[in-house]
Amino acid sequence: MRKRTRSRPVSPDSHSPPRPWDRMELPALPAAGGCVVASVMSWVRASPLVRDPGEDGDVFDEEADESLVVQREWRSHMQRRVKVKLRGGCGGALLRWVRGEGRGGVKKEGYRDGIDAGKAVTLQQGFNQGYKEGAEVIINYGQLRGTLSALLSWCHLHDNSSALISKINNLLDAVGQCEEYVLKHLKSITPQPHVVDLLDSLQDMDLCHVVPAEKKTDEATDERLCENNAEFNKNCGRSVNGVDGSSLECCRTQEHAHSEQPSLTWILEQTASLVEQLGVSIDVLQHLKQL
Amino acid sequence: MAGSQDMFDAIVMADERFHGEGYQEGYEEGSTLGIIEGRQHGTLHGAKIGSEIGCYQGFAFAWRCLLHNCAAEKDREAAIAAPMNRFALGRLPRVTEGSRDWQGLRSKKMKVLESLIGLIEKFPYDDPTYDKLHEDLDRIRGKFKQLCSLLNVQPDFKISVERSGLSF
Repeated sequence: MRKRTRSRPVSPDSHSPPRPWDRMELPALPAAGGCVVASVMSWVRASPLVRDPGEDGDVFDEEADESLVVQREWRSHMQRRVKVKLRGGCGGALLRWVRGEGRGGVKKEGYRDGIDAGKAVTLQQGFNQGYKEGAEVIINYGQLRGTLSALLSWCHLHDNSSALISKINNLLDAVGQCEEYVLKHLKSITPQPHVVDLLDSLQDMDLCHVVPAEKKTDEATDERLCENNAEFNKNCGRSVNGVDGSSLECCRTQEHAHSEQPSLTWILEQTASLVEQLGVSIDVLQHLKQL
Repeated sequence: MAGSQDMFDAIVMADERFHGEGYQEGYEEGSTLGIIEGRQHGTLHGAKIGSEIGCYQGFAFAWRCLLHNCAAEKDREAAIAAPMNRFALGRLPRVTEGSRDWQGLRSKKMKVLESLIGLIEKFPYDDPTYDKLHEDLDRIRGKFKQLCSLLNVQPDFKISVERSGLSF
């Protein structure tokens, strides 16, 4: 036996305290020749509690029994072998059965793999779809915003009255609110729900009575959006029937177009009257006709 | 012996089968989730681009009309309109020579304006797979800045803070 053991840090963490099952395994050790007491003793000796306070900086234990290292290596080696045996061949299933996962565990694992694979395939598709929709719908608001900004900068250049300027600013804010509202709705639409699925889940969840309530919330939001201006509400009722979302190609957004349209028409009307007040030709709004 | 072999076979196959069943279910669920998740991100990004491009477009179209309008007005009431315009253009610090030549500056503005509109109309704003997306977007932004400085305006599109990061 060599006097010097393999370099081994003596921080207390690196030594697990002796456990009950150590006793079971130790007699089987082939050539280590150590007994439990020796092993424990070497552990105790190696622990910093017993160490000479003078050798604080020394991280290597010169006196520890080499057998402890051998024991530990042997133990981890055996554990690995047992695991390998169980995993190999039909061991995978056996190991899971033994671990009590059984059918559910295997299925869950497959499910997780499936989710990842399915997601990977459709994520880009969904992104492209959403991108197109978002861009097509929001560009209209952008155009309105840009037009109002142009008018605003025109007013600043020509030192128009501050009343008109603040009016344009208000309209710009209104466009922003509309935009945010539409965007929120766009994001929350689930893509192409199958009727059967919907009916199933509605039945499962017993949500039938909730749906009208949800609609009400939407209306409430609409009105909250509108309440900055009393005229909003009048327009809501009027234009819901009159305006269809012809500029939106996607039929899924059609019904949302209805809820977005009222305040947008109002903003357009206000913008038109503003253009008149500025003494600018109404042609300035020509490109917004498609809204 | 054969019986025990079958039993193990059953266990092995069960493992495969359950995994396969789970995978199938997971795949369907994952496909739906992928579409939803992708759509959410896509909508946001698409909306950002749409909002930005729309702003430039609306701004450019409106200004084109305003400049035309302005020119017509100038032709009609040359005596009244000219000093006003000169006053407006006199505030341009950089284009001192141009401010004297109103026609020249106007045509320069129109040129930049038309080129901006051309860039925007060529830009496939609804296609995230367009390979020159960033390149073209940068050109549009640059052209827009150039136009603003020519017009001597600093437009505020009032894009909300949350979505102000238009670059992605």
